[in-house]
Amino acid sequence: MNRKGIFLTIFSLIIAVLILTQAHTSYAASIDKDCSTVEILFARGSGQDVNQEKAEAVTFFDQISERLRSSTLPPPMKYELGTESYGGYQYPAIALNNDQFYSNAIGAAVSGGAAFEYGDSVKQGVGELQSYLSQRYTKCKSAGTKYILGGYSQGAQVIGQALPGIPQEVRDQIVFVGLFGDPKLHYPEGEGWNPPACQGKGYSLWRRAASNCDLDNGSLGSRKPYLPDDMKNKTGLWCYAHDYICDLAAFPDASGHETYRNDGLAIDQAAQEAVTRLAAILPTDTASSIDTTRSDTTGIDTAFVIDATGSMRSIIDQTKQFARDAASKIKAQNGRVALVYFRDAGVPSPAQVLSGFDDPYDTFLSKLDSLTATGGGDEPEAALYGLMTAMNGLSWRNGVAKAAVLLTDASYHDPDTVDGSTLATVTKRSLEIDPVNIYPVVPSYVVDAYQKLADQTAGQVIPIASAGSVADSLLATVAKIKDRPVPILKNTAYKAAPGQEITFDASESYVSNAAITKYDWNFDGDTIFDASTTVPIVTHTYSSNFTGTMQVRVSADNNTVASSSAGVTISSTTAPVLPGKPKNLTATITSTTDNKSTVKLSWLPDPTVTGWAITLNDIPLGTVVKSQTNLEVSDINRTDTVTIGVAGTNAAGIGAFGTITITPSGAISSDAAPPAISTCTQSNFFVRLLCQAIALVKYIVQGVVYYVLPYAL
Amino acid sequence: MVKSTTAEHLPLWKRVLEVLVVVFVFLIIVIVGFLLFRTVYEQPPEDMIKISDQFTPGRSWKLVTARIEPKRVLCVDVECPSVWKQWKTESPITKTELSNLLQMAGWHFTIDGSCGLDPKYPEDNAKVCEASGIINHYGVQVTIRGSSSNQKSLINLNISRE
Repeated sequence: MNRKGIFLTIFSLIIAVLILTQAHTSYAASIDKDCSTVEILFARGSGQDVNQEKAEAVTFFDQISERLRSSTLPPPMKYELGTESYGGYQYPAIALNNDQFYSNAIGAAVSGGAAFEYGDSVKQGVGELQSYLSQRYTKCKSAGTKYILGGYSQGAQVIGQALPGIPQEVRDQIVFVGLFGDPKLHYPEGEGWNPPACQGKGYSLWRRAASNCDLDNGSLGSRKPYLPDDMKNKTGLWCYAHDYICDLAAFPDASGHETYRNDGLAIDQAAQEAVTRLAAILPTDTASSIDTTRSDTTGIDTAFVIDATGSMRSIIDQTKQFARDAASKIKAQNGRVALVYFRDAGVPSPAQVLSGFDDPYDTFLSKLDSLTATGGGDEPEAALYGLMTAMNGLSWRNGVAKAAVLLTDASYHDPDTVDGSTLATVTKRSLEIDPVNIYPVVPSYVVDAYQKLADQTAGQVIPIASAGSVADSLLATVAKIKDRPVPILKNTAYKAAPGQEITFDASESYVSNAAITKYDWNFDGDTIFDASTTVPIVTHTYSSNFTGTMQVRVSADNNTVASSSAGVTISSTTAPVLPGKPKNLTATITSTTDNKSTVKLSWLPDPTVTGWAITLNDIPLGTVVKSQTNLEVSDINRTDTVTIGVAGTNAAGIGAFGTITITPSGAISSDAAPPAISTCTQSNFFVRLLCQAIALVKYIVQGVVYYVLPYAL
Repeated sequence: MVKSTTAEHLPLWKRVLEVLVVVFVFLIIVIVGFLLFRTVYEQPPEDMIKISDQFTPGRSWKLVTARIEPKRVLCVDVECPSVWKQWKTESPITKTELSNLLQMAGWHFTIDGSCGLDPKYPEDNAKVCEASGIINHYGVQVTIRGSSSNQKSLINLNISRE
């Protein structure tokens, strides 16, 4: 090779090395960006794209950014895992639902999220977060940057799994972590047969929402310990009802998994908490510029339940005008409206849903326009039936304020002449929907008739002062709904045994631009409030079995009230215990022919069993019902010692065996210890091996008969 | 001597082979059936695609992502069915431009926000305006995002079940 050739070769090699080196170098634009006071990081869910609109990541970024916009802080930095590669890791957020045989989902399920494609995806996210955060901390340490982290679904697992590997000094700069729909969720207070969370006790520091009081782990198990100690009081975990990703018991319902980003719900709440915590640690002059006022963005479902009898003609016309004027106000409150009319018994459709919450607002307006006031006979109308139609016929949202605005100029039949509804049944149904507060908008001459209905559903009566002020009254109603407190109970349901104390905690309740003055508690879902406190926590003990609803009504100093309700189940929660050995087990040989005997067994009844299992030489013979405490077993081979076993069975399983041993000579002894799985003592190796194999098969068959078949059948 | 051809007289290996063939055929039927079911069930959302096609992007827009999720048997973390398109531009989108685009699409939506970035608040990927409504029972949302650092805009079109 000549000099030119050598030079070209060397030059090419140098270029190749440079290219290869460049290819393995991470392009790291975000890491070099200027430091801000606040940096927000988020790990997305399975199959989502980076920067995906209408996804949880952008919602998290937006909710925090909007709250900080009016402050003196510079705009927060935002980084979504998977945007770039750090430390050789880049979070792919692998999808679970678009491969041919759902192998990613199956791999996640069988490995508890630790292996296969899903597990690798999580590890990539963990690596990227740890590397990125450490590098950003190094760069921004002198700027005092604080970090807010969030994760959704697979991303929640990434965040939680990454935290222990983040150095302490970096974790100290994390202000708050929000985890939504975590498949590796862990609530220790939900474990066990009688979990403390069901009595309102023992809540984890990171608990913000749980689908049920006995929720303890997610669909991929639980990570234990769930969080490093120093992160437990800086992390919030949300798992809503109807989300099988974090609550496998909800399978196959995942509708709740899509709601974390809705206004007023988890991500909105997490952003509020993060900003409030941030304000608490920043210097006073900066902190004071951050608006931490909790705005009521929880949303409102408002049903207009309108009396459409003839006398309502003028009121309906004014209602139509009001509805058009109020549209923007209701929409601004993340509100939905529905329309229901009612008349009285004796007409073809005494009540009907004309426009549901899911129908466009244009439908609501057009149905209202076409509503005519006709008919009606006696003065009371079917208002209770109208309200029941609204409560049963509309799809009310979880987690939002709910109101039924009842427009009528007459009192109501009680019991209703259409369906027999009474004030008590309407109140009960209202509480079951968390509740629906009823606001009767009525002329002054029927205010008294509706006061009880309003009081018992934590609503308010709005009098129509004169014929021309319906719109004013309706505006006042909407204002009351908007300005009222937001009562929040820690549990959606409570369970306990009679005599066990339950703690009802409504300390997360709040009201905007006012103060809460009183909490009224109704422990048994009747129409009477049983206690009144100025503090949001109360304890109560139910002395006997009960299934129903409790309610807390919160009053504020702006003359508004609202209530929240939760289910209560009081029953014996003692775990079923395995039955003991049958008592007084005896056997009598009743006949013997050709070395085959018939043996009669008898024992005492046991109220804790649901049946009896019978074995012969450890081989199951079958089961008998609980009431049968004697039995004849025939064809028992008398050439060898035989053992007959009897054991009680119940929901806990098969209890201890009592045994009868009969020798070839006819000696009977009872309650010998159950034979070991293997009693093979034959001297010949192969015979002994065969004996062991047969004993193992017997053991397996016994297990199937006793442990599988009773539940399968 | 007549040889019997009944099953119990077949050699063991033939009986095992018979069982294996039956199992294999059964698995093939199950797998093919499953794939056929998915193919039939998980069809692209034609209605949503037609709606998305009504929105004509600007000439200078560059399509970043067009993600079409069909109805799925297993739907986790993404909305199914749904359509999401994202374009980017080298210059900001004004409210007037967005209004014109919505009109061209025949969508009578109200635009929330000014579509402009606050020069005193240089935020990246900020939501600057949004327009949404219902078309044929589907929720349609157009979101404009801007970044102060580079003046580029991201235009997102989302269509999902209402």
